[in-house]
Amino acid sequence: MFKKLFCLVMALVFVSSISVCVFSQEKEVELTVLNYLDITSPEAKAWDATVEAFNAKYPNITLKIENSFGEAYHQKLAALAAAGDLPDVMYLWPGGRSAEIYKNELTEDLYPFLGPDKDKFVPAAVTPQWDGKLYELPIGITATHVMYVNTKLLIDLGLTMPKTYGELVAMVPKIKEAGLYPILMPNKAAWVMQSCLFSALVGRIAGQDWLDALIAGEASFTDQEFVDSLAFVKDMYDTGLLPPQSIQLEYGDGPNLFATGRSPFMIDGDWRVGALVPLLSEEEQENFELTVFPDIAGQKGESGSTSTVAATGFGMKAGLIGDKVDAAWKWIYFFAGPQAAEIRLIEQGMIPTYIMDLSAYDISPLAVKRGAFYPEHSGTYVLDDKITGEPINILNIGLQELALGNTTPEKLAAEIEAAR
Amino acid sequence: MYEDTLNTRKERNIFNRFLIYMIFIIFAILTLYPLIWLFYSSFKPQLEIIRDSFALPQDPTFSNYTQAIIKGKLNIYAINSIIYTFVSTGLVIIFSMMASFAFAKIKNRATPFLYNSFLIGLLITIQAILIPLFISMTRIGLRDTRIGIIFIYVAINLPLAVYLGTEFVKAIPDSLIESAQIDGASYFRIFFKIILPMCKPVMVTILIFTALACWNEFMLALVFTSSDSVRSLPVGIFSFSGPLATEYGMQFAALVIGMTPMILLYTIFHRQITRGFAAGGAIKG
Amino acid sequence: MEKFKRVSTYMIFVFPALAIYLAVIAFPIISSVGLSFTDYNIYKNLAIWTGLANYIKIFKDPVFWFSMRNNFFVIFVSVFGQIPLGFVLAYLIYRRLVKRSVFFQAMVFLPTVISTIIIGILWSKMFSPIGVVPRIIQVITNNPDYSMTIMTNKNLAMIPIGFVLLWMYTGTYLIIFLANLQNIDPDIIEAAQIDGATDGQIFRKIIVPQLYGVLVLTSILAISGSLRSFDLIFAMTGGGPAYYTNLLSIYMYNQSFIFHNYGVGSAVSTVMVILSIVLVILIRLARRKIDIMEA
Repeated sequence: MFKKLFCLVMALVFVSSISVCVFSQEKEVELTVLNYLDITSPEAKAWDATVEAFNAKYPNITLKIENSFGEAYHQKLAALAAAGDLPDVMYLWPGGRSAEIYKNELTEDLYPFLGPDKDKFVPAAVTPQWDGKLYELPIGITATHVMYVNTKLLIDLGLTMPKTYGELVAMVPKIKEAGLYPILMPNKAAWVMQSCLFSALVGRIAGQDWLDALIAGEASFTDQEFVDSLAFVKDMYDTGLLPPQSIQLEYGDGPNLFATGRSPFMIDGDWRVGALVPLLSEEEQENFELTVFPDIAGQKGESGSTSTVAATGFGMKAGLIGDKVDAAWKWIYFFAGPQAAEIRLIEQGMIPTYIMDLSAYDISPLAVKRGAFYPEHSGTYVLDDKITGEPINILNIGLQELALGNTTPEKLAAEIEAAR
Repeated sequence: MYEDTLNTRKERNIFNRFLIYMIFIIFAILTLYPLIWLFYSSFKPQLEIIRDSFALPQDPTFSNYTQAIIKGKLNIYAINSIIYTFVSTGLVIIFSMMASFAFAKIKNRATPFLYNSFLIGLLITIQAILIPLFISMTRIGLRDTRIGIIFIYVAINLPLAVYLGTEFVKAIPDSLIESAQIDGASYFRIFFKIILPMCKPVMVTILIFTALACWNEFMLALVFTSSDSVRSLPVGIFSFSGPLATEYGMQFAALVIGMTPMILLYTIFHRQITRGFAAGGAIKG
Repeated sequence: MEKFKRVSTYMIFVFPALAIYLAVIAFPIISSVGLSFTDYNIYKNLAIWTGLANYIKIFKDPVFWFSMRNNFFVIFVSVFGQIPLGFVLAYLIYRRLVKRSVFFQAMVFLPTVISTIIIGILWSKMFSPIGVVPRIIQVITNNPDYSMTIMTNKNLAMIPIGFVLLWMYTGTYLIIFLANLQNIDPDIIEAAQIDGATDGQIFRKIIVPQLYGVLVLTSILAISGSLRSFDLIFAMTGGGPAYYTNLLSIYMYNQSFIFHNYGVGSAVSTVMVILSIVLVILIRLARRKIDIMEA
């Protein structure tokens, strides 16, 4: 009797869940999407293709997309949050500037949605982001520091790949003589130095153990390791490795100047492959390599390390109800999942967090090199992902002041420590 | 002797003339060169801009423009900008003239207080009201709507318009109004038949100031609009200069598209614009 | 009855402007002043009273004072750069000392009609190391290594911005002064010339006194405009390098929208409003003094 009843109930549940599924599939759902995209950037093409693929797969879900970028994006998100009017899904960071959103529990934990599918992603990508929760589903692992090398130019100059910092400095006169920038780094925006070089330098000079101690509150910014890292940045300007123009170059100038052969080295994030590929023919791309900053005398960190962070992805507004929850999760999963990952892989050479066989795809030579970059280089923390608020702001601005000779490493370190 | 002084005087005059012309010519070059440079650069392919910023385009292309319009949706934004400018300017003129008339010619004890509160508006930074305004606009459902934008544009342009209008109406002799009142005319009649026709000069001034301000406004449009269908041109243009933007040709084309309408309008109407200021002696202390 | 009619008409005429003004400007200003005494969490719409803490915080911050210094530089350029230059150019055109004055007038005025955002982007491209300004200097000085360092000098970084400010706003003042000059009765000048007055005397004794009022008004416009300015620097330098081209408005923007310290941001904007009211009162007092001296 009990068994029969149980079967009946199960059958009922089954039928009703199917009908709910059918019903919800037929029902039109509108999803508001706040996306982080510069519509004029090379990334726009991949985004359009992704949206198109999603619409084809889920015709009942209408995406109401708003694209915003840079400061405008952060400002808009804060204002929307203030007004209690967050979009259903929004583009978020694993930490850093999205931390405020997480602190105030404005988005949904995604682990319950992800469930066993967690194993389909690279473990590093789906580690907890805040308070043990996963608030956005990352679409990639990002190395924020890459040293791009124009090997042909290097050979033309009669130089070889530097193994140590000393060798790199020794190249300065020869590169300058040729009328080129020794290292190209567009530092007009303050975050670039911190994100694309300094974080990796701290990881290299002070080492991962020190970084862990810092975050645990057991180490201080005034420690010799950190002061040395700051002094190192100053030294790069003093030796002329970073020319004075560096601090006046717009972020967009970087790939353009590098592609036109104005420097043998460029320091930027791995995402810049996406901007370089359209500027270079396939043959030209053969002459470019991705590596990291050479060894530094007395470094405590690993040789060849860079700074990495689980990348951005979409998160879900807290408190969504009904069909919207389902539609929102479909979008979030789709965006990180195989189909969208494939588009980004082919268009931008972005290596997905979704585990898939990459050898089957025909991708540009530079993107292939990007794929080969990750296994070769270990990762340390990106500072603005782990530390938020005022210390990071003082650091970002302080690194520019340091470059201009208006502060000292010791003074800056003390200011950052005081703001903690 | 006499000849001599005359000569030196003449020489000095020539020198002065030369100096005066130099000043104006420098101004002309400083205005024209950046615009011309921008214009010809907007026809360069991307890497040509980087290789030599100075040179003329070797291989001119129009695709920067077509790309900018398609990708940046500048056509939609331009229509929105036109709507915002026209409607807001019209409303500012009507509302400010009504208030000016009341402040200047209808006796009321509230006038000094109300008038001065408008004047404080002249000193307010827009950023100061952004957050509270954003919250209240969202609550009443006017954020991200055309009406909402027009509403804000009218408000931020009212202080200057009310100030200019009131000072102008004050200068109209009371006797005109009194004699009309003796003839039995109502305030409404006086406003439409006497005040408005006499205020044409100051209305032109208000029109120029408001229209320029609305057409060029950036910050509020950025914050108070989200959908493509309500965004304005400056927001669209700025999106081409985002930090990740690398396609400089497209960016230059967008800048040219953004500045052309106003330059054309000014070229056509510059006499009227200047006369607008001149006829009323519009701005007085 | 007559009085009732007058009051009700007054209300009808004032109402539309007043209602919109109160809703969009007055109400948010008051709440903004209120916010400046609190620690406000925008995400939860929760304000905790902190008294003067925000004000103490900004007064202790050297970046705040540096931003204020830059703001005074902008005011200086406006009041002692744009206004006199606009005045002199207007006077030269008014006295017909140049031919083709319509063309030249247009050249000075043209930047005024272009959106500030466009001007900011345009000049940042011009001054960029890969832009035309360094390139032209390289060609002129025949030194291919030349690079502009003025923008990265802590004390001089505002100068290129001052230049652009002159470039874009002088035209407005030119037009205003020209309009008012043309309103001066030419007979007065003619009579003075017959009496043997020199150009300099005419300028000092007739022209300038006639324009005192306009000078005061333009100064007020320039000061409040300078304190409000945001778009140009936002698009041109974003306040950088470091904070060397920050204005109070950018400082406020950073505090509010980047660090989410809305209370601190509101405190900055309250300081800005008080500052501009004080400056405007000073100008009015100065004018009264001049009036008394004249009398």
